[in-house]
Amino acid sequence: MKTKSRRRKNGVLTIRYVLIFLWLIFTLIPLYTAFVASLTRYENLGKTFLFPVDFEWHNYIDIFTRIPYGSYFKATLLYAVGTSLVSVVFAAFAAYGLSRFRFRGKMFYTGFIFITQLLPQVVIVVPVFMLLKSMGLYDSYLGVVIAVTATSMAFPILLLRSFFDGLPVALEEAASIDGCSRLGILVRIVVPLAAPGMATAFALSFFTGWGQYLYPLVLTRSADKTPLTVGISRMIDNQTPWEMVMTGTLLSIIPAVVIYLFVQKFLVKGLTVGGVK
Amino acid sequence: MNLKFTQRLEPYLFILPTVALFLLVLAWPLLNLVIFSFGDSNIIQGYTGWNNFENYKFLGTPAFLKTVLVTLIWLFGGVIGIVACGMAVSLLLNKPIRGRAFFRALTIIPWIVPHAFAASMWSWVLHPQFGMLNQLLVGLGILDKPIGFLSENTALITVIVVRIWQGAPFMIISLLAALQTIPEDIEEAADLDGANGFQKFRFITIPYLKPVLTVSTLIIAAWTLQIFDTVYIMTNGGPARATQIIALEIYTKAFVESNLGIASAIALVTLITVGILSLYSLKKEGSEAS
Repeated sequence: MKTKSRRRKNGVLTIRYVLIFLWLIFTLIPLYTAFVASLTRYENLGKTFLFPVDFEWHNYIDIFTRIPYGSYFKATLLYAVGTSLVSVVFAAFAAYGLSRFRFRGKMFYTGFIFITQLLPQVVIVVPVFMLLKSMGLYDSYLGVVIAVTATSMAFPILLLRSFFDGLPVALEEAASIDGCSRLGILVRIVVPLAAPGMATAFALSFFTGWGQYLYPLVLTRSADKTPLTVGISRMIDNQTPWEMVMTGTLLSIIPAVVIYLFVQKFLVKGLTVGGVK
Repeated sequence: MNLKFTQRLEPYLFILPTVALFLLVLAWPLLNLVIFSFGDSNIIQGYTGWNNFENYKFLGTPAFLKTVLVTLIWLFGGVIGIVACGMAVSLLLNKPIRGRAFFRALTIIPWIVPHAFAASMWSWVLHPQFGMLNQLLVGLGILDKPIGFLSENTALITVIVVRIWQGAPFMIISLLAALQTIPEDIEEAADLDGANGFQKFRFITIPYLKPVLTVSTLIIAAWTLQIFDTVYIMTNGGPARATQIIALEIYTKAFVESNLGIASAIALVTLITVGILSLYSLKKEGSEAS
């Protein structure tokens, strides 16, 4: 009797592992295939299957001369850092205002923030394009950062707000009696206490900026403003050098994965504390 | 008196930066969209003259209705697939099995892969001649010869599968977190009462998951509707408009056909529809919660 139930339990466990492995294969297949292709010579593409036939590590050096990879990388980094800096600073202010004050129009403002999350970028990309043109910000890093920040602002605000809500007000009252200004309180007390939340918001905005495609595509023109997403996918046409596309793709994903592995614990925790509420 | 005024002004100073940003980059463009949608418009000159609702008449044409249908299939296929896979994988990972933290970390990876790169990698996996999936299926004898995963009949299903690949990790994280809030003694009590696995799932797991499940599903739906880059890079709406979702239609009308009027009309109607539907579902969620 006992062995029977144990055997059944083992069977269930085996099925569980099999299903998890199947899901992981689905998850990792594009990355693995990209890796195999990135080690292949162009003329051997398609001959590789599960294992690489060449070990052409040189692809990882050639990519810098085949396309202006360094310049794409620089633009991507600027968009990512710009977006995350602006988002986090603006969001910290807004979240503090929402968390510590009651004011007329608060409901409306909160509602508006929610709605911005629903707004597809493609809906407003044309008027934004015309707006930036008239402001002289077309084909500039700043223009893209402003546009990206506005559409991705909601999440950091709501995230930081719920972090701030969880902080004790007593400390701030004490600081205020000691003559600390509101701004001082925010910068010296609230932000340091909400460090995990700030880090989560920063990381999320960084990923957002890193992966932008439509805005840089439409709002910039010159080569030095082209990010990796646009530059690499532009190589895909009839005569695609797939080994280069895959090399470039992997090189571009790695920084995000590395950052993610570092902040993973924070991120999952921050999301579950703040995001899903 | 003066102090009181400053105090009343204070909260507005904190939200001022974001309000300014929203007004400039969201509200002003939206206002412009309304104007563009009522006349002949193009991206160089903007609104050039009234055209008697010509732009809105496009929304009734068979071509556009097909776009709506494709978008609905994309939306529901993606969301249902993501919820189903997210639920299954989070339940699988919810038991204290060996290597769980490692599996979870790997599972989340697609979430941080930018859409454009997901599109390029999947395009290669699915490549009609050289792609690894075709080679695998032919090699295993499942297929006689390679098939085009991005041909007219299969492209929509294929991009939906890629969407599920992208979207499931968010669902898995959310649901895993929610699953961990279920107290163990409830499950133990159910075990003592002789509840089977399905009963436990139906009467314990689902009620506990419901709030998170609803919110996450709404978020996933909104994100799925917003997607442009994945489909644009993989199929550019083709072949034969088989994957022409609304996001691509707006882009095509504005930048390829240079018809900003129609693009704006589509954008506005989409936005209003999405807004009403999400208000409705949030309200429904709110009234059920209370």
